[in-house]
Amino acid sequence: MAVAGAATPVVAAVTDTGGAENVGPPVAIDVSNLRVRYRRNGTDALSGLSLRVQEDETVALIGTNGSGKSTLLRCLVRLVEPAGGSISFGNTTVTGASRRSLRDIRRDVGFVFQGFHLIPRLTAFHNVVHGAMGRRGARCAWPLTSQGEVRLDAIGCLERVGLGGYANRRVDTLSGGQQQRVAIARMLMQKPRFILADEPVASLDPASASAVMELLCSIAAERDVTVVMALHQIDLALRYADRVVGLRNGVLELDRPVASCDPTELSPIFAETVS
Amino acid sequence: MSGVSTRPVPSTTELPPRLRRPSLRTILVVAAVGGLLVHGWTEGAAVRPDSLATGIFRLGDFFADAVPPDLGRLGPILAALLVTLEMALLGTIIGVILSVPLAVLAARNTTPHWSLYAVSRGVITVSRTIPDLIWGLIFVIAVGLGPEAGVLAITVDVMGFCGRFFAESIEDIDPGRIEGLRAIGAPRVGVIAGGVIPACLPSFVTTSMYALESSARSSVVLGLVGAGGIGIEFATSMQLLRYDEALTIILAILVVVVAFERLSAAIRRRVLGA
Repeated sequence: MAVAGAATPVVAAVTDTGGAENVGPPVAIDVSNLRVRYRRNGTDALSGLSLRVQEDETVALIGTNGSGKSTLLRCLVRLVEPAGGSISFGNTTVTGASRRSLRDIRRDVGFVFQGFHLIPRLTAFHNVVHGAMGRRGARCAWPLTSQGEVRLDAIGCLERVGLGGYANRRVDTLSGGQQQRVAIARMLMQKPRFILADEPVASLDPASASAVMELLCSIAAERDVTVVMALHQIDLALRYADRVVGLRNGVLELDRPVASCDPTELSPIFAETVS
Repeated sequence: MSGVSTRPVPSTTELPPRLRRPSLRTILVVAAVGGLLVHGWTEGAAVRPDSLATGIFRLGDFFADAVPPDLGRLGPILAALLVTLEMALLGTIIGVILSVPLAVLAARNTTPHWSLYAVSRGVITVSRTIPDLIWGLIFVIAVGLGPEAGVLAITVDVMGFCGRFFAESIEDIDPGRIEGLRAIGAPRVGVIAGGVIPACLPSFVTTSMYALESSARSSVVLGLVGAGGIGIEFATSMQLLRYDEALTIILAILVVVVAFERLSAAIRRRVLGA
């Protein structure tokens, strides 16, 4: 079931490639006709999805579990390989990039995961130092071998997320909210131009969720970073995003600026789907 | 008020059988095992009560000759035991160090190429399936009699043991940890050094400690085939019927092997507890 009246702006946004597009802000992320197929059952996780995100824009992806939000985010940096279509960050094409080029692209893209994806036995400081591996190489796998300025940067990033006093604590002894802050500090070490956040607050209590969202968005604002985040909470999407994109069964069904968005029209995106 | 009926309610669902009929495969496996036991019994691979009865008396003779243990050659025995321990320690350390890259190549989630996966799995299988005593004989031919052959035999044996369990530990790692570092743009070496190895470290340490215990035992036996250490002393004492001296060696080995096991258990507890 499509959301009534929602698909039209999307089609307009994607297919309108005439002279008007040169007038607005430059496109930061360009996804065109993206297809991803599940290997296990041959069905499409994403079916011909197209999306443009402008520079410095914050886009919230909403949808039910299995709607394709996480797949889309992972596909943007090819943690999931697409079956077709094209993706580019600025002038750099992701699809078809060599292994080395892909590593260069990933350096600029900070990824925040729902499950934090930290190394639990290591300290917060050690995990944050890992964030420099994209730019400074494998020496940053261990604080012992990492460069002095990387160590200073890491402490700075931990202080930025409010965990300066937790540098030597093992991350598996921290709360969920603190672990997500460590993950954000690790992402800051990348000095990213883009942030992809896959349900960054889904496993946190409401207070921690608000604090993490506040932190993520304030960092994005102060550094002029383009953000695409998958969220389940409509209220958070409306509070922190500039634009809301709804996915349903791997198809883009809604694309609205938050300013002109009525919360009631977002609810059908979460309605029961028939697979 | 009427009482509650204890009669079972008639059901249309069929009651499951108490015993399921064995499958053809189960019958074949049981028949094969039974056949091997019967064949072994006819070929002498058996435990016969009459030989056990006479054997116990001979064992009594051995202990009568062995007690009290002869401490006359304690110095050379302890020196040989020290060499045995050093063989075990050096062989285990080299084996564990070599096992780490081997395991990285032999784990599906970290191997750079399927051909390297196949080769490293092959190396692990060969190292593991050939017993350490045979490796000892092979290395005695290669480098001559002495502890060097023992160290090499233990190294290969540990590579087979640790290589397999390290690789399985790497394959069991939460994929998110690898994905998190790949998403940063970390090079492959960085992902392994910064993510995979720290995550697998407790498992690596416990496996290495088991390997050390096993090496302490096998280093004794390796001496019997000329690969140095206390084994040669023990074989000589037994061949010259110096059972009292042999008992001294057995007791010394017992103390050392138990000490090794206690030490490795303490290290395991400390690592897992941390």
